[in-house]
Amino acid sequence: MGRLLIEAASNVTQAERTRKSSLAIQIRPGLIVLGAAVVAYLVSAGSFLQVGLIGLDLILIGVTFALIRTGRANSWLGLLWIGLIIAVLVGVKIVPIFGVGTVNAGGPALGWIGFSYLAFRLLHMVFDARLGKPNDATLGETVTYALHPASLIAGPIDRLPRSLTEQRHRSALAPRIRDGLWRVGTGVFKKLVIANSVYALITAIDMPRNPGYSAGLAWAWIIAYAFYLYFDFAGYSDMAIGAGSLIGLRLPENFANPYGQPNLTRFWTSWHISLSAWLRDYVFFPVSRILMQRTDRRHQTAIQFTAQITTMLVCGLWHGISLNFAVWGLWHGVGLFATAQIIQLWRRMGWTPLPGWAGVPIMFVYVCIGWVFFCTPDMPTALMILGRLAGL
Amino acid sequence: MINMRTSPIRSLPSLIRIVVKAVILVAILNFVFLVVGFDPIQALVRINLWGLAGRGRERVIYASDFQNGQLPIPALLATHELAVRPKAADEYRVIVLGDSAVMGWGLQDVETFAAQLTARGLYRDGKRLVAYNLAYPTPSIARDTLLIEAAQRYQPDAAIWFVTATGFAELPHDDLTRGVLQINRSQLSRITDANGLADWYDRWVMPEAPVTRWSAFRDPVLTGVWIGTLPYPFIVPDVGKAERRAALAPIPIKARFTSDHPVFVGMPGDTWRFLEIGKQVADSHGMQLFIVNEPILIQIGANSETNYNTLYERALYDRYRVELAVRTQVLGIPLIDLWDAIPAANFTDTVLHMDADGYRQVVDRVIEVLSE
Repeated sequence: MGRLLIEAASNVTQAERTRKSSLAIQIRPGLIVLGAAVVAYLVSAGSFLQVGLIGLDLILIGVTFALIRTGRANSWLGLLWIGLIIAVLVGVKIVPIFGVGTVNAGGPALGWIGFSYLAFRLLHMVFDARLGKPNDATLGETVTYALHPASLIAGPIDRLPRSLTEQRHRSALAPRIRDGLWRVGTGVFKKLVIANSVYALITAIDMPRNPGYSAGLAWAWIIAYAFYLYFDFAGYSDMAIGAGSLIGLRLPENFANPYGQPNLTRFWTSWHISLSAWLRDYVFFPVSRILMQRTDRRHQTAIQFTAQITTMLVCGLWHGISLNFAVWGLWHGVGLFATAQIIQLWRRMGWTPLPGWAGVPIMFVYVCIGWVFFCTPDMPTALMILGRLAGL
Repeated sequence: MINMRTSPIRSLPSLIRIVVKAVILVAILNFVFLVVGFDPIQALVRINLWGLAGRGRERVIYASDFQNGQLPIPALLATHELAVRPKAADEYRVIVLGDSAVMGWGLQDVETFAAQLTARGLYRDGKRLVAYNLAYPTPSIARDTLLIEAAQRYQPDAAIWFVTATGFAELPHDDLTRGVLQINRSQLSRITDANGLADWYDRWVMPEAPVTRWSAFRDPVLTGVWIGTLPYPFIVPDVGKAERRAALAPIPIKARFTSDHPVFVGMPGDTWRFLEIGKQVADSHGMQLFIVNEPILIQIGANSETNYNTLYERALYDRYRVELAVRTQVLGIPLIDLWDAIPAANFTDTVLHMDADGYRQVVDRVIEVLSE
C-alpha cells in the first residue's frame, strides 16, 4: 500500500514536478485540511473513537488516489473498489455499530460521520477515471478535496475538477472574507433562528403521535416540516460555503429557491444541487445510455421511466436504507417522469405554456406529500398522515 | 429575488462597520432595557392566539402540552380563561391551586375539581361562584405562591389551595418544579429576598452565568417554546391516561418519602414559609384563602403498618399533618383536611390522582366549609 501510494504520488507530470518538488510539499495542504477535519469530527462527534474513523477515510482516499494514478481504476480492481465503497456505504446505513447517529447498545455511539458524502466524492473520482477524464490532482489536493472540513459532515458534494480550480487559483482575500462572513451569517440565521423556530411548531403538532388531529393541522405540520428541512439544510450549506470561502476553498451552491420552482424537474435542479447533479451524471445518464444501447428508439419513454425511477430510488436509499426512503425516492421518480411527459404533451399539443407561478403550488404540494415518507419512521405512520392530509 | 449568495455590502470594511454598529445598537438597547427593567422576551411570550379561538384554556397545562409549562407564569396565565374572560360583576372568582391530581390528570375538563365546583352553581357573598383551574403538575407550594401572586391581577376573591407533603420538600427532587422555578426566578428571587429566604433560593435555583445578568434578553430559549405553543388554540389537548390502579401496587418496605429522606430531614424547613407568604399575598389583596390537605390513597396489605402507600411513610406523613394543622391555625388559614376522606376505589394511577367521582366527593366536603 505504501509503495502504491508513493508510486502514485510520484506519477506526476514534469510541470507538476516543477511546481511541487517533493512528496512532503504535496501532502502539506492535505495535512492542514486533515487537521481541520479532525477538529470538525471532534466538534460534531464528541468522541475520539469516531475521530479514529478519519483514519479509515484516509485509507479509502489513499487507495482511490493510488488506483487512479496507476491507471488501475480502469481494470477489474477499479470495479472491485467501486463495489467495496458501495458495500461500505450500505453497511454504514444498515449496521447499527456504524450507523450514523445510532447508539450501539451498551457502548459509545459510533457513527461514521459524513461517509455518505465521502463515498460519493470517491466514487465520482473513480467513475471519471474510468471514463478517461484527466486527473492531475496530487495526493494533498485529493485529501483536501475529499476531506474539505466545511463540507465533511453534510456536503455539498463537490467535484474534483472544481475543487482543484479553487485550490490552485485563490481569489482575492477581501471579497472572500466579505462573502464568507455574509454566508456564514445568513446560514446561522436560517439554521438557528428560522429552522429552530419552525421546529418548535413541528414538535407542538407532532402528527405521528397525534393521529386524531384535523386535516388542517396535518397540512400545517407537513408544510412546517418542508420549511424546517429547507432552512436547516440550506442554512447548514450556507455556513459550509461561507466557511469554505473564508479558508479560500469555496464550495458549490447547494440550493436555489427550490420551493419557488414551477415544476418538479426544476425543483431537483435547485434542491441539494450537488447530490442531484451527481445522481444525474453517475446514475441517470449511464442508465439511460446503457438502455439506449441495448434497445431501440421506440422504447425511449420506457427508458426514461426506468432511468428516472432508478436514479431517484438510489437517491432515496442514499438517505437511508428503509422502505420509507425508497418510497420517497420512487414518489419523486414517478413525479419527474410524469412532469417530463406532461411538458412533452403540452408542446406536442401546441398549448400555451402556463405561467411559471402556476406550477409552484402544485410542485410544492407534491413535494410535501413526498416529505411525509421522508420524515416518518415507518409506512403505517406515513399512510396515517397521508390519510389525515386527505381528510380521511 | 434578492441574491443572498454574496454580500450586498460590497466592501469588507463597510460590512465590518455595519456589524460593529449593529452590536453597539444592541448593547445600547440592552442597557436601556436593563435600566427600565423591561425584558422583551418575557413580553413577547405573553402574546398568544387564544383570542382568535375566542376562549381561554381551562388548565395551565395539559398532558399533551407540557412544553406550555416551560413558559413564565404570566405567559401561562395570559392564555388561561382566567385572563381571557373578564370578571363579571356577579362573579365570585375562585382560583384553585394544586398538583396534577387537581389539574385533572386523566380527567376531562368538566370532571376536574374546579369544573365540578363551578357546576354546582353556588353563590357566595351574593355572587355566582366560578372556579378556575390553575393547578400545575407536581406538588410545590413555592410554585403555587408564585401563581397566587401572579393571579392577583385577575381579581380572585378566594383561593382553594390543595397541598400535600411532597410540596413542602426542602430540597429539589423533581425536574419539573425546578424548571418552573428557574424560568420564574425573577419573581421568585423578589419574594425570597423580601422574606429572608436567599439560602432557599440558592438551593433551588441554578446560578446564572454572569453574562446573563447583564442581558435584558434573558431566556432566549423561551422564544422557541412560545412558538410551539401558538397552535394550541387549534388543537384538542390530551388529558393524560390514568388506566393503572395504584392500589394494586404492593407497598414497598421503604416508601419513596420517609422521615430520613434528604428533602425532609429537619422538617419543617424554610419551604413552609411559603404558606405564610401566600397568606400575606392573599391578605394584601383581600382574597380569602382555604387550604385543602389533599386526599391520599391509604393502602392495605404488607408494609402498610409502616407506610400509608408507595409514596408516604406513616411517620413522615403524620408529622406533616400535625405541622400543617399547627401552621394553618397560627396563620389563620381555614384548613380542610381530607387526607383519608376518599375511598381507595376512587384513586387511579397514583396515590394522589382520583377519578371524577373522587373529586365530586372532594367538592362536597369543600362546599361544607365554604358554606359555613
